[in-house]
Amino acid sequence: MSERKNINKLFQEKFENFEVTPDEIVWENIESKLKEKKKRRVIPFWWELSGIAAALLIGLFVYNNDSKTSLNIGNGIVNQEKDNSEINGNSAKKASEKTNNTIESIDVNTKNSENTIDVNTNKNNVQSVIVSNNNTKTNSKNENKSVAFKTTRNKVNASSIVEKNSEEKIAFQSSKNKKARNKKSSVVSENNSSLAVTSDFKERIVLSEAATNKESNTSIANNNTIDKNKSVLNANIKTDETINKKIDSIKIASVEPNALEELLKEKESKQITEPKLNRWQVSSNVAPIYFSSISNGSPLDNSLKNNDKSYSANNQSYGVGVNYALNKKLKLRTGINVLNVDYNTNGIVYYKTQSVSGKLANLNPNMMGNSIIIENLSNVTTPFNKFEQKSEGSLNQKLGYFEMPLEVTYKVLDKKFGIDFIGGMSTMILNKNEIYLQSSDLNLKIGEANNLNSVHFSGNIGLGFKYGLFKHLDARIEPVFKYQINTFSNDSGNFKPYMFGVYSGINFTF
Amino acid sequence: MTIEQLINDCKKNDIKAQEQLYKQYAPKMFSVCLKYSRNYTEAQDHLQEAFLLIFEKIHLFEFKGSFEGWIKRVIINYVLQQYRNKTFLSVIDEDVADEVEVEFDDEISIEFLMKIIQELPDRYRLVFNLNVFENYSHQEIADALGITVGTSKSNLSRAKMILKEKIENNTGSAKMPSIK
Repeated sequence: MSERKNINKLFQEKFENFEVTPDEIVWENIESKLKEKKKRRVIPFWWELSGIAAALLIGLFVYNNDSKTSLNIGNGIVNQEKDNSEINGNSAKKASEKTNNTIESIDVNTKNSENTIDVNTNKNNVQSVIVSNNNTKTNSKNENKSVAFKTTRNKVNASSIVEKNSEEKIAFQSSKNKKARNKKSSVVSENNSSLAVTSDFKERIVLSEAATNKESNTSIANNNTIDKNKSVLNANIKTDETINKKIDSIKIASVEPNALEELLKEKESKQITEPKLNRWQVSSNVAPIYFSSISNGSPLDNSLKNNDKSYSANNQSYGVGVNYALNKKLKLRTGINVLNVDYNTNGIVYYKTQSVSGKLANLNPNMMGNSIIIENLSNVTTPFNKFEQKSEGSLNQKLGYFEMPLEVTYKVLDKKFGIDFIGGMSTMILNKNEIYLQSSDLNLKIGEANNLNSVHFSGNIGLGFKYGLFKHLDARIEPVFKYQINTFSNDSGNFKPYMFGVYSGINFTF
Repeated sequence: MTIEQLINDCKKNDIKAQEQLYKQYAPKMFSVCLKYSRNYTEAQDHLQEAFLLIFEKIHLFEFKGSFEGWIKRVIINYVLQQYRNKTFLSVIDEDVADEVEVEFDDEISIEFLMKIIQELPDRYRLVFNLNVFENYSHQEIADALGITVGTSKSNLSRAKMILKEKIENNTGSAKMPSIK
């Protein structure tokens, strides 16, 4: 049956209470995007924290390295001392061979334990064979060694061999010291000269004065590397073979101090200069970034490579950094920056379509993007008409990164006003990848690029100018050029991006 | 849970609340999107993006007036924005009668009606929808679409003529229902 009605009424009545449930996928998409948004808010926060954590870790690592070197020196001392003792006591060759072995072993702990054992055996031999004078010398020297690791030789002398074992290490320092003094009084006269020099050793290892004297002698030599120790050892072994003890040992003791003193002084002077250098700096960064390409390609699609690109002026980067001074001239620095850049590809036309063909090669379209065809304006031959709804516009590609630079700066001028050369690289971690379709009245996200690497690098080179505001505070401005490497996983369309930023900020030195 | 509570939870970005809100309003809003869009897929795209916009802007809703009305406005505005570009070509104003009578079969399906709405050129469709379903005046339509009142009037009558013709000949380009 047919009816006649006002067309408005027909539609209004028909569509009253009309509802259609959309596909499940719609909510799923919404949900994933909502979650994505939440995630995005969280990520930068974590990154900042991890940046700080990384800085702390690096700090700890460097600090540990320093303390390790001092440990090594300690070991060296012990080894050398042993050598001396061997010389004095004319101890068996076996013992010296053992020490050789221990020196070769790298691990500090194992060295310590082995050393003490070796020494014990030496003493045993010594005691059984040698005259009292010899004993005292060897003992006292041995003690020096043992003190570093807190093993007691003195006991060995005084009493049974068994006691020498490692248990005694901690407990018997004082007794050792006393004994050492006694013994030394007979031998040590030459050593007195070196007393002053040894003071810094005392700080590290608690020794009796007498003991330190001897140690100082040896320790000076010990500053050198293990290799030296070995050579000394070999020499010692030879001397071992010559039977006369006292004379040899005394000679060695009296000759060494001069050369050794010099070394020690050198070391002291180093220690004085080092504290003056404030190694650590924290810095803040903010920079306008000029993002561009040295070639006129397009990473979006080959057909757009000749299109005009415009690079927006409001790209920027900000972040924090940590600097560590390797020496007066060289600084190593890292940090974390947030970086956002975008550019436009102009001269395109777009229109809506159902068809799937004609997509940009490197665009992963979202649902909106799926139904839009984008073409180079110059490719379009058909006249615009109202059915196809073609319109002009531009493509805006937005890229965001977390940047972690690793750079070296070299000071060429260091006054109140300073100049640095800067070189290094950055690791860029992609955190934003969006492509927008823009026209005078449209700004529509149509998808993301599918050819961006999630991590890429840049080579950095620049100049740094600083001006000292206060004792610990510098203002800084650094024009830096960053050439992007490996930005695109494939098909970069001959687009070779670079960034030029004028980073400014403040350095705090401590 | 009252709608107020639900909205407040949505303001806190509670995903469960957002889902519930979506499920509650999606069918009604999808029918709006279908009428304003060219086809089913496009309508779904619009629904999706518009709901994201709703969740983003929901903190701006101050419980003045109906929430459904607010949602619908957001959605319609979003869809209009998608078509509000310079591709609108101005059409020469014509004199057309405002009242259009149409003769139709009683059995005429809503799917067919939807189809022929979607087949209208973009601006005809928008003007028709705004006028017929939202009761916008021509001035309001002109403001919303950035066109003149005259253009709005002429678009509306052109739209109605096209629809009338299709209904009377029952000649949607496809007779298959377009709702799914």
